[in-house]
Amino acid sequence: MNHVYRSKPDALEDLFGRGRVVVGVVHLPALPGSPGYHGSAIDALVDAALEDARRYARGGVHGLIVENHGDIPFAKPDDLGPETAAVMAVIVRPRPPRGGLPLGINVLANGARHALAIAQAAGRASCGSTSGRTPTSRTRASSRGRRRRRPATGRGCAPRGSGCSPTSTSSTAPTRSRPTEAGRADARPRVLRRGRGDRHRPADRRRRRPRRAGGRARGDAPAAAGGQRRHAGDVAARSWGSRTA
Amino acid sequence: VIVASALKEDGVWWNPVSEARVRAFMEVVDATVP
Repeated sequence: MNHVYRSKPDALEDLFGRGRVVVGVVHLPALPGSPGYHGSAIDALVDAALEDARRYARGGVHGLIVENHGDIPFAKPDDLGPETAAVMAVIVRPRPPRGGLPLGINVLANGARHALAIAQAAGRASCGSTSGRTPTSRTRASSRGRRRRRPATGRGCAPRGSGCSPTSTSSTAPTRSRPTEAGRADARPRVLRRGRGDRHRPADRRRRRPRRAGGRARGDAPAAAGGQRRHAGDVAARSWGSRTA
Repeated sequence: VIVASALKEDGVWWNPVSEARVRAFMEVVDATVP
């Protein structure tokens, strides 16, 4: 029999060392920027997620995936705010000392580029890795089974040629648009976008950045903040999905 | 297989993960899947 396509490597075998796996979902509660968020401390969000991960790991699952399920109704990809990615990066940043489980990141809804950014920021972007226990950034595979347009990884955080071409979750959950300013209800939501500078804005809407007296030059290290340093150390001391933690 | 709510306490997604449910599920998996 002649084959039309060359055989492909088995992603599950590559990631988990086995062909059939059970992946436990860590549901994050409402995060900053979502309608349900009521000011929970970030440390509390981290602790809850890590405890769920430990329970999954002790129970024997093969991998984990974390998702912002509490943000329902989910924003569409273009409306996802930077705060979602920032907080999720902090939550998934803690690394297991050893024996950790592969960890996926799923940003609802369909936030593949955000997921890649989170993985990159959290030091978990090892797309295309073939080592068994290496954490990976991967959004949940599409359930539709048809080919989708590849995300523009070259413009995002993943380097070109990294082999990382995740597909996004097809969600049937309700979605929302981020609130707009009063009087601009019909305008596009104001969200951060890559590659869209002021040259595309009308002159009266261009952002003006005030000069800061004594501001640091580009490339200088930011001023040390004791609280942030302590927080980073606290988070680093905790770990994801370690059966021994 | 991606599992979520069924392994939470009382089967509700916003509850913490139930380690007992996970263990019970994985025992069935390990006994069934080579």
